[in-house]
Amino acid sequence: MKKIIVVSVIVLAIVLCLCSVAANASDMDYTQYTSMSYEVQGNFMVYIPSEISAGNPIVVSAGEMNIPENKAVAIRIGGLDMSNAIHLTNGITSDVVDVFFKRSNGTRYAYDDNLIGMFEAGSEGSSYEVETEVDYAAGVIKAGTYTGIVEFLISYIDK
Amino acid sequence: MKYKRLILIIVVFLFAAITLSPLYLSENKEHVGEIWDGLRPQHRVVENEYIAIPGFSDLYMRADYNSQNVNIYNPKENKCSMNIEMLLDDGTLLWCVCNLMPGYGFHDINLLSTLDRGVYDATLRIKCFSINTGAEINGCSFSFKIIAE
Repeated sequence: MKKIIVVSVIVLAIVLCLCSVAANASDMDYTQYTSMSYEVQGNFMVYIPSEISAGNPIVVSAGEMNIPENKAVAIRIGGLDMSNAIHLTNGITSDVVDVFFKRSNGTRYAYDDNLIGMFEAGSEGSSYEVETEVDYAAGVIKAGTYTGIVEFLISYIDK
Repeated sequence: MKYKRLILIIVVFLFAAITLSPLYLSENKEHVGEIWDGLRPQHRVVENEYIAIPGFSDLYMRADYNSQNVNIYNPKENKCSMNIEMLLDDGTLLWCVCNLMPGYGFHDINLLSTLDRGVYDATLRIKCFSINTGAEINGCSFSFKIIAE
């Protein structure tokens, strides 16, 4: 009889333990917090000149700038060679017209120093002006139209 | 007779003044212009037209899938068509399109190769061509990150 009582107590204790664990698990289910997130992709618009009339200034401007505060859109001039120029050709002769890009303080952009500017969140409508400077052997090279392509480098970066 | 002599003197004086005055003036006139040192570049002023380049933040993609959702388009305000290449920085071509006209774009694309999970430096190389002449005009390269997950 004593044995039965002891066994019953042990079984009861085990059952109670199990119940309490289940109850706690159940409680956890009800009190657990879930998190939701949704990434709204940033987007922006940058305006670059379609053609450059060498010798005249160019303007790069920002349109919509829906980007996070800690991000920026950097604009650089690509394609500058070691002499920091872009070469225009006439497609006929080997004559070349060099075009340099200058800041308002007169310093030239270089192949390793080509940042025009950065657009940040809320900078819609802002712009950067870049001067262009032409250099060629006047009176020596053949008259005609000299053309070339400028590739602007746009990057989405951390500020 | 007296008047005739006076008139003659006046006429002679005026004639001398008229003929000699340019010489006198030219000797004392300041130089106009500048010392000519040869031909210099002459600039033609042209009204700039602009290309609208749409960009986006980091691009999320599904790992191990070719099919992806994107927002790549040529804004309808542009007057150029676009050739677009999506490249990884190691040169792998992920996707490309030719002759994308203004007002057209892509929401769904199929990558040429799938991506493993990870973050990749990528570039969207955009070449632009005038609709009127077909000539290539200025373009751009847009650098961003692809997050494949």
